[in-house]
Amino acid sequence: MTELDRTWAETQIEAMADGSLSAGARRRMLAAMDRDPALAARVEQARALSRALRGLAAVPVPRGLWWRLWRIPTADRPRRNGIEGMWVPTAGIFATAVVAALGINVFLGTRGPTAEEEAQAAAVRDFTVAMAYLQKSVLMANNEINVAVGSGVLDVLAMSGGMLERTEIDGSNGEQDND
Amino acid sequence: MIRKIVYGCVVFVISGAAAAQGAFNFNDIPGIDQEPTLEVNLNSIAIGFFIAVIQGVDPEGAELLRGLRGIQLRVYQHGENARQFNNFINDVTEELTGSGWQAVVSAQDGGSNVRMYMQMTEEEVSGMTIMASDGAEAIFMNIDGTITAADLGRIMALPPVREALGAFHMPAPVTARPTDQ
Repeated sequence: MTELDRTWAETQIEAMADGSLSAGARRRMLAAMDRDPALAARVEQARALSRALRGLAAVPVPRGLWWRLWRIPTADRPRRNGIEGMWVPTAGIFATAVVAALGINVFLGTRGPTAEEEAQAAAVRDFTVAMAYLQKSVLMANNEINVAVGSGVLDVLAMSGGMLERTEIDGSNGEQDND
Repeated sequence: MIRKIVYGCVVFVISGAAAAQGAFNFNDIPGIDQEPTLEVNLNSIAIGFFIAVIQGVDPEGAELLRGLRGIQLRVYQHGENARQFNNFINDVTEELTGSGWQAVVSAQDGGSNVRMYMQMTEEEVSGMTIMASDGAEAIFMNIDGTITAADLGRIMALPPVREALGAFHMPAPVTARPTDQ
């Protein structure tokens, strides 16, 4: 394999892994991989990473990790578009929000998200976090809310069911004492 | 002793709708020298980005969001300060009531304290303030704008938000010590 081929192949690993190469480029890449086991191994590593990232939305991040990530402030994050004082995107929720808002292709593709896409993903993430805590507040008041309350709050309560039930199960440290 | 008070959401006209919104600085709780453990600031620009996402899946839902001006969230761990947080919630409740805000939920028992207030302009919600404390953490949220809880519920049901919510696991708060209560 020539140095030119090697240099070209190095730039095509991610595209080979996510299947975005043209037919001709793919044949050329396969030939290069046949000749260079190390290159083939790197393509396989990239594929494994892609598979792992695809599973992010389905596999819960360990709670302890969530908590540690939540504590990372964004003191050094540059201000952009007037958005400031936000917390660093935690690995899991940020990935999830990006995937949810922009699609898996942006996240796994050969290009990173644009500034606008990143801002959109951050907005989805922050809105989601705010709504999760709204839901938690509703859960705290769950027993106290009755039909006299505005139906909008009840709608939110109805919407929140699945997540709250899981949070309750996950978060139960034993004592839920009610008299 | 358990006190549970629930108010109906009665509609009446409040002038100067946005005046009280933002009047409560949840960054500075009197008597408490601690930073929030979680902070979210969605300003109008960030909401614009969010609307752009929602526009792609539900143009009508995106319209509901156009009246939303901002969301601020602060979450504090109670630590040793549970009493101070509850005092602050009670103080802000008095201020909200004095400013004409409507109590939607006011619930308090030995372990939790939840207040949800709405500011109404004619039949339109122009702001919501949520304060909640469960013995482990205190949650303070301002939702500024003409959006109802029902609208928020609809937005939560849309794919990007629903999926993100589905994947979101609430961080486990540090359990408060019994003596804090």
